[in-house]
Amino acid sequence: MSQAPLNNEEKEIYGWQIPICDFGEEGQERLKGASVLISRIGGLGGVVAYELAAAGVGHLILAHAGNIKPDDLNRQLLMTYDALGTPRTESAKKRLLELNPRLQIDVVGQNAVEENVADLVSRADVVVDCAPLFEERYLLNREAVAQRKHLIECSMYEMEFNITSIQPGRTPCLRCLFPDEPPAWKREFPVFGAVSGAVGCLGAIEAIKIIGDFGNPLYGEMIHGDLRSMQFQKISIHRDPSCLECGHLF
Amino acid sequence: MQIHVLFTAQLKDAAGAAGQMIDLPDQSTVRHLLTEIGQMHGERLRAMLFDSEGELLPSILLCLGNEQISIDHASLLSDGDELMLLSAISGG
Repeated sequence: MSQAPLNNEEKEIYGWQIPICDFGEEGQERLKGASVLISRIGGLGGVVAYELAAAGVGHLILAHAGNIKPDDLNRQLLMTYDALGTPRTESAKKRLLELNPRLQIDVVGQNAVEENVADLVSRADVVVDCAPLFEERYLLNREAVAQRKHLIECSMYEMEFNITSIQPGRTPCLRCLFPDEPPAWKREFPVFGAVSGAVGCLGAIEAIKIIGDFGNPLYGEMIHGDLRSMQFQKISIHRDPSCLECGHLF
Repeated sequence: MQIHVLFTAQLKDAAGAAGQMIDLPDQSTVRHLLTEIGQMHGERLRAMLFDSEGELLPSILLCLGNEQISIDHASLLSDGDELMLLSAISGG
């Protein structure tokens, strides 16, 4: 990953985070020089994007098909009521640039599919998987492993969430953990925006730590949280030597 | 001995509870425990846990204490152990 020097305005805008221990101006320069792919920018990815934009990640690649629907608005914070019926990526880009006009934001009006996933992942230093369909998630995982890209896996259901960070060749990948998707998985599941937002913020801070090279990303660990009971558990997770995606790396 | 089983996400819905205490004979294994869970619950939970041959589905991650384990975990269970059943969930 590359670094990019800060100007005086940037030093002022990021003045509340630059003094963070082990981060500093060097960390901020890393954020400015980094590119992050956020696959889907709904309730989960939208908050990831918002926090990474606020933190000063210089290049965001946002992939999400379709137009804004009314039932997006309980959680998709980059969308607006006035923009109902218009492409999600347009609203997202507009909202992010209103917050931070210094960013390069590339929007792709498609979800990650076989035809585009290799290209999408190739553009990024870090990939944040916020997709609702397991087919998408496994494609992103496959390409992140193939291209040796950092991948942050965020997920939620009702009041619960899971999050882990993947570094191919070092940690379990998604296929190591869940070799197959659950039967009868429903694309629409109950969730509050604050739940997807909570794990979205965690996903953003994982990306910031990885890019800034400080703190302890969740390599080899998964956090499971239940926001109904406010119980959180950090689980040690393991590679599968027979994993179809990454077993050959070990 | 008693084992505390925790259900997550869709499994919680199907089990009708966030968790339960299960009585097992001493010298029981994780596989014994999962068999007992399958027998105690209805088809809806069983279908989320096991395939048609009774094997644990690959969409389920087992966590004993704070450690991911396999269904064939070598060590015997101990009284008071806590097993969490994590089903794969996604984003959106």
